[in-house]
Amino acid sequence: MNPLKICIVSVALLLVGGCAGGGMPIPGAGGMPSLAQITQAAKSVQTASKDIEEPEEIEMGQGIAQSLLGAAPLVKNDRIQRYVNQVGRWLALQTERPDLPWTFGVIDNENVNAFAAPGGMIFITNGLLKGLSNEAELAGVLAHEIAHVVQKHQLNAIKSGAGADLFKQGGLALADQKLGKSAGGQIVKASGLAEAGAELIKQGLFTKPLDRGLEYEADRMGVIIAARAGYDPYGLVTVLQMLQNAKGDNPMLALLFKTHPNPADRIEQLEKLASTLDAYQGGDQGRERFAAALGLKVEKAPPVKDPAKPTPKAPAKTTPKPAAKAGG
Amino acid sequence: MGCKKWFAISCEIKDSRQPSYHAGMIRPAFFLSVLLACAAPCAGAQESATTNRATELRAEPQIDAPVLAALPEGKNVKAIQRQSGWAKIEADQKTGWVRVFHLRFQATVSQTSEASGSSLLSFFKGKPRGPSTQTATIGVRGLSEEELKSATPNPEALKKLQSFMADRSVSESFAREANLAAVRVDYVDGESSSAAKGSRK
Repeated sequence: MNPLKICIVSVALLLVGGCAGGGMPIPGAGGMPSLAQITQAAKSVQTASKDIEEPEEIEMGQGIAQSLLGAAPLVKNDRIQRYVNQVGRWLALQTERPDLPWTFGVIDNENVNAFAAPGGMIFITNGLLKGLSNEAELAGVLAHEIAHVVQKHQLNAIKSGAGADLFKQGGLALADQKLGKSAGGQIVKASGLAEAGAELIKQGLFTKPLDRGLEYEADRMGVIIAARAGYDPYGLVTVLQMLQNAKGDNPMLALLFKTHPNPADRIEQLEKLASTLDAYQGGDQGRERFAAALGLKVEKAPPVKDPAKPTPKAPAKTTPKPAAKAGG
Repeated sequence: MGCKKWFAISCEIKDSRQPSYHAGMIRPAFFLSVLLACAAPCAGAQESATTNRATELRAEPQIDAPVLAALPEGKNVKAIQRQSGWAKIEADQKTGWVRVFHLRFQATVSQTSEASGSSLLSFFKGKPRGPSTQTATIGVRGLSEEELKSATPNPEALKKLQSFMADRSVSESFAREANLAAVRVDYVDGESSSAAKGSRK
């Protein structure tokens, strides 16, 4: 790695590197930061952002949520909001982070998308919600987002900046704020969080893709989380096939497609789990509950067992305790 | 796409239950497209799909069900119904079941729109939805990158949202009423190890 590159990286990553103030050093021009400087800078940023503990993670997520809600208001329907929170929390209870302050919001926007922010803040757009036809599909979507939070995908992107330069400044803004570096050193906590959240969104938290592998992981975990909660794990597959079908020039899907792998690729990845999916297919669909919560006219469920019976519901692995999970 | 699934649904819901909250927030371009989409007939409960590999048409949605026909890769079929990992389809005057993973649902582009007359909506929802006749109050706003990036924080909205949170006991009683039983299933592919480190309780 040449010195210029090192310096750029340290500036971008650390903002405290020795090369930030005095102009960009040119290779061989003598302005190159010493190894000691770089190490020192690395230590500083570690103190600032490496160990984001759960309380900070939660605060960060709430700051982000405030700003997302500034871009798109909540759907003004308490019943729908409560319903999505119940389904979402039930799913989250089946994960390794059951006790986060999980919060699920339906935002009033026709764009088809869903978002996760650190600490358990999950959003689904009205546009996507209305495209779904049952609770198992909703569970698939929410479980995908929950998996992002369980695995701290967004948090890691924010704090490490690995492969995503645009996350860095926002992460540092928050780190600075945590260190009391922001204007005056005594900022109002809430507004500081909100500012940091807004900054993270500006820097691309919801508009830059995560690594494809992380999306596939969230899909794989999502179907399992849905199955754990008693749902038909094919719900997510169904949603992805809807997206596959809808793909084209629909502007309401543009951001989703920009930030996620192609639906066909995601389906192909999930097919690797087909035997697991099959083992739990026939789980609950929740069609009527879904329709009732959304105030849809309840359609007669199609003759679901037509003509054959599905594989019997999940094999004898049932345990009465939702929180107890093997292998975690 | 024939009926612009997402748009068509939005017509229905807006019209019936949420008439007010979009008022005054209409974007002309989207508004027009929604009008057109809603006016277009959402005909047919069937969806076109193509086999993405050679597969079998089976009498029942089960892997060991009798084979009615062998389907080559690239076969165009009509999908009628879905049941978990299986789709009921029609091909060559035969009706049977195919693995959903063996079907590719066509990416549709709006230029052919009305011609195809099909909507995934109808397939996945079990029946077609008729066109809406009340489109006057519909507004559609996209959540664009620009909108996201120019967002200003709304702490009140977060407080409001937090009032809807479901705690453990609320969600557990929701699940009980819904007859949702927790099942023990392990992650596949080793996510479990990385998930387990950290804050697992």
